Amino acid sequence: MSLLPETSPIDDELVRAVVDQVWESLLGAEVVPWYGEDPVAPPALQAQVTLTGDWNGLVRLGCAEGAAEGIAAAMLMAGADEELPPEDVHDAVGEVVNVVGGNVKGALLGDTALGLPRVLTGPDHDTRTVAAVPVSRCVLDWHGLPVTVEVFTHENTKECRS
Amino acid sequence: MRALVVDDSRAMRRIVARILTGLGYEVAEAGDGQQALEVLASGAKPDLACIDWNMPVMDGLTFVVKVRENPQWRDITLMMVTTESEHSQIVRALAAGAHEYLIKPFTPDSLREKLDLLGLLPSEVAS
Repeated sequence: MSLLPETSPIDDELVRAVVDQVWESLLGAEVVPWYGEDPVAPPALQAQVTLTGDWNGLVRLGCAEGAAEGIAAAMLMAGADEELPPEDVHDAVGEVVNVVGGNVKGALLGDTALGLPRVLTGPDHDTRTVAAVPVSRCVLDWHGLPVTVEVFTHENTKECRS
Repeated sequence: MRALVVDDSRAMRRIVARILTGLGYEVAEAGDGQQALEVLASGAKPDLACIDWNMPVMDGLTFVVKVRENPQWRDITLMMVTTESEHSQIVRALAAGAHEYLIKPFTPDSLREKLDLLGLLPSEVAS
């Protein structure tokens, strides 16, 4: 189901295509949709990157720490006995959302800048109230754990799409 | 051959460095453009620099401009490796002095193809 407002320049199809490409190229993995219960609670970890300019919004990846560790291990081709430190895990998922955000930006016309990725954990990290309008949301299965990839926009966004 | 990988993401530096090392490169790393300039100023002479665009302290485009301003570094081949995929950004980078442009996400083969185009595949791995 699309959460897309009719005038939004970004839709579920675009975001899913970007995620497919990032998963395949960066993680060496195929995207598997999540068929479990919809994860409604804020995830333990959120990696996010902002888009500002003619289009304003936020791309966010949310998951449990265990999924983040798995994503980082896949990205870094870590050995089975290699335990990645939390800063490397956070850096890796930050880069994943950075690449997703950059490719979402690539679908826009106009002058929009990509911010630097941030990885947030803890009780005050949910940004749903800051970026008001949900544009796209997909939930993926990472070896039995849900991973959400969401795009939000702000109301002052202009219409632009290549 | 020697390469300098400039990216604020340790993960991305590790990925690029692994590919380049596998091709026979000696690899140095820097976390932003300023650090990369310091590496060059210390006397490092890489044949290739792989440069992210969006980084704190000094972004990749500014780094490219600074390198091109210094005649001592004119032999370094500069390749942007970035999520900035718009045509206008590619034009900006090439106009500033970058030689090649690789958009993230990329595969090891696509990086290798870029190096082949640049004539920077070590002879023992060039096809």
